[in-house]
Amino acid sequence: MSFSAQSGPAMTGSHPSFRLPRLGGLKALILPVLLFLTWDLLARRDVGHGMIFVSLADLGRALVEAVRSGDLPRNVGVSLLRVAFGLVVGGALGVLLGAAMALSRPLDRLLGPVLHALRQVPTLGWIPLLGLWFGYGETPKLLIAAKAAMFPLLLNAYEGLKGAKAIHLEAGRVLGFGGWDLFWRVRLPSALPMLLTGLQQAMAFTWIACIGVEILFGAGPGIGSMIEHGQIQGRMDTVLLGVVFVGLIAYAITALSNRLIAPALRWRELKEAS
Amino acid sequence: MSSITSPVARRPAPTRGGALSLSGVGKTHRLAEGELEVLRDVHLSVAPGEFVSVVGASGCGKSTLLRLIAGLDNAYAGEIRLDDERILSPSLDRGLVFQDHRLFPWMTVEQNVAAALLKRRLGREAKRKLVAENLALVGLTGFERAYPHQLSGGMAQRAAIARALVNEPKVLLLDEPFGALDALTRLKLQEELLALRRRTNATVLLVTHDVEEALFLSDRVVVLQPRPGRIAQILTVGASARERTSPAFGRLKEELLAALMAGPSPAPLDLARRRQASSAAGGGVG
Amino acid sequence: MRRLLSSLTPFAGVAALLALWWAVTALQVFPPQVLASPGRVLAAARDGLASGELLRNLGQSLSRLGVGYVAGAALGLAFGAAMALSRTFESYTSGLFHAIRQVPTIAFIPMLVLLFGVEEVFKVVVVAKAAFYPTALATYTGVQGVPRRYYDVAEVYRFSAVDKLWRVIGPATLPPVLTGLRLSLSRAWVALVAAELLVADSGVGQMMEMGRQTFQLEVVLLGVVLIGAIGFGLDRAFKQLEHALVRGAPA
Repeated sequence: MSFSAQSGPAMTGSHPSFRLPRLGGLKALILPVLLFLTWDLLARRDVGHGMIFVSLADLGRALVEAVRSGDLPRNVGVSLLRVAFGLVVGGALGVLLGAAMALSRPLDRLLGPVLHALRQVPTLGWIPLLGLWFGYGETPKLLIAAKAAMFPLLLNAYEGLKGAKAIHLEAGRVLGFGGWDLFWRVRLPSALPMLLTGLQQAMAFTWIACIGVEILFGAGPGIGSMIEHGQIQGRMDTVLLGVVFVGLIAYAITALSNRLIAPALRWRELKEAS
Repeated sequence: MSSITSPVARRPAPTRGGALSLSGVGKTHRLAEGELEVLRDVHLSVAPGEFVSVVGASGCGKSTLLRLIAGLDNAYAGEIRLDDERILSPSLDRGLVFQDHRLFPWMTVEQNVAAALLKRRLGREAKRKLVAENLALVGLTGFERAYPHQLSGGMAQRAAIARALVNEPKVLLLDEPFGALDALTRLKLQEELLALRRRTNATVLLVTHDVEEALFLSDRVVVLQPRPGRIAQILTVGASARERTSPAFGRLKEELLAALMAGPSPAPLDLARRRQASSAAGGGVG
Repeated sequence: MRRLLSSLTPFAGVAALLALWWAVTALQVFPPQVLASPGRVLAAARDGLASGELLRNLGQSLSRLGVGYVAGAALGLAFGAAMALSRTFESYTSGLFHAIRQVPTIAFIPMLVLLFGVEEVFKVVVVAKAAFYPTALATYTGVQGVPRRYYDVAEVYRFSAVDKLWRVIGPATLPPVLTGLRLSLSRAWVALVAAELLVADSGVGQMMEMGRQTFQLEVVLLGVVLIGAIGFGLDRAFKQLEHALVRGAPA
């Protein structure tokens, strides 16, 4: 009854979302540009009264204002800090737990089923409960971030360390490796690709979870809260600004992490191109 | 002609090789369905610097025997000694080359060979030198920074051999090392192994199912019979039989093949033991 | 016997969790305002069933899920296939497609509230957006991954376009597409819950949010259990479907 025997709906598993698309050059921009122009036109004709369509000029103004007042940088910064917290705390916990479970069969049998059941509840589902327990402050947001970071890393650390091939462990023994050496020089390096993938997943999930909890709670700083405030005030320009930045940062996280982990994965056989 | 089981008299070898002695070695697997006797009563002495091949059909226990000598498994009956010390666990004294090269995929060729030196107290420069020397020995100079997945089967196996040799082991164990390679590469590597052997003087124990390979490389060939694995015969390969095209080679090859085809039949020694055992109402071995 | 046991293993996890939960509350490790016992949650469920509220909320949530999922997944299938089969289509749409993809569904929710209000349409659109992408991507990769040789064989046998779709592309892409559809379903469920939490007028999310605002711990916990259970159930049912449809593929 091992932990990873089933994958629950809350996990995306190996999803091609980390492969970024090859854009078809200029043609790809045609539709977005058209969309923006239509949007702009309709806004200027005041269709929807500023609640739906925003003129590009207004959008630009909102951007400048948000940057100048320090709102945008502050909100982005706070959200990112929460993500960082979640990754460090939740991530470390996840890796440690996953490693412990991979190395100790009794622990695996004990915790595995319980964790698997808990995994079925999506991160967002915990928000009202945490809100009940901790109110609207910083604590529940940080806890959600930690939770979102924990599971992908736990799962990947577990699979990675468990999946160390017996043939390599044996080769290590022949070379005189003892228990510690076998872990440090065989299990860990062979688990590294999965760990790094887990880290990528954790970063993406934690970003989403942070935004989610900020939107649902609405109070306090953060990009999600900014978007939510915008919606309450009926200001599409703020909302749109927030959405664009959420998307940009999500893209940046994926792109950067791909770049960073590539050298560590050099030794793997390339099974598929790009 | 089959020969006696005592080691061949040789010129005193320059000390590197170790002397192996196996007495009464047996191994039984405990399975759900019962017990499976894999090896029974193996007696063998290998002189320092000798090259001995072990041949046999699949399932005759030859790989198991090698693993016991390597020290990967210490649940067996009987004794295995290297230079009079009992073998209980893996040690750098005994190098092992697997059929699948088992290079660590996350390390370069250089790092793989250096991994064998991890447990040695040597300076960094000394280690680097050793690695370079052994890579040169197997003809892989220039490929230090390559990763295993970039190497061909033959090259990877060469790297594995370098890794096994870098510690100047007393005994070199090879488990069907060329089985996974194509015929041409196999022939080439056999030649190289012979050359290597001349240069390093280690005692070599090679497990193979390729009869010609065994005859080409070894001083003696041990034939193992399956179910359970026992020594059926030991042939000595004289100097005249070294050439693949010589008549002596051909004759030995036929003899070996005949011995292999003969199938499970109780060895004379075995019959005597059985009579003893049945009269004492004793159980099996293991 | 073994198959029966292995099909029960996920439930063993739930059983273990339930046991742990019961033990923790029985031992009063936390005060009862913090963690309600399974018994109290069950009582809340019974109350909800009796008043009909629970079923109503469930029904509303699930029907929105159904409509939104079908819409989003169908669009995803069409889009993914079109992008894979037509280079021109892909080059024009990929910009917008991937741009919107980068934004997590939940970040879109406030924007969609402004655009569509807080009625059913809004919720269905949220669900559809969440369902769209996994299916679209899986279809795209799946159709792209059909080996050239299959098309060659189809040419030799003079398949019409419809034939090609039905006999070649369809079966060849079924496994990855089904996986994408399953992923879409679970994402759709999460998105629905999020939408209902934000705009709490009906549905499971609303039930939870109301419970939170009135400090009814049992109701909130019931919501947590329901969300997890439904998500798991949907995923599991889909896996069975996959297994049945794709004979010979690893379940």
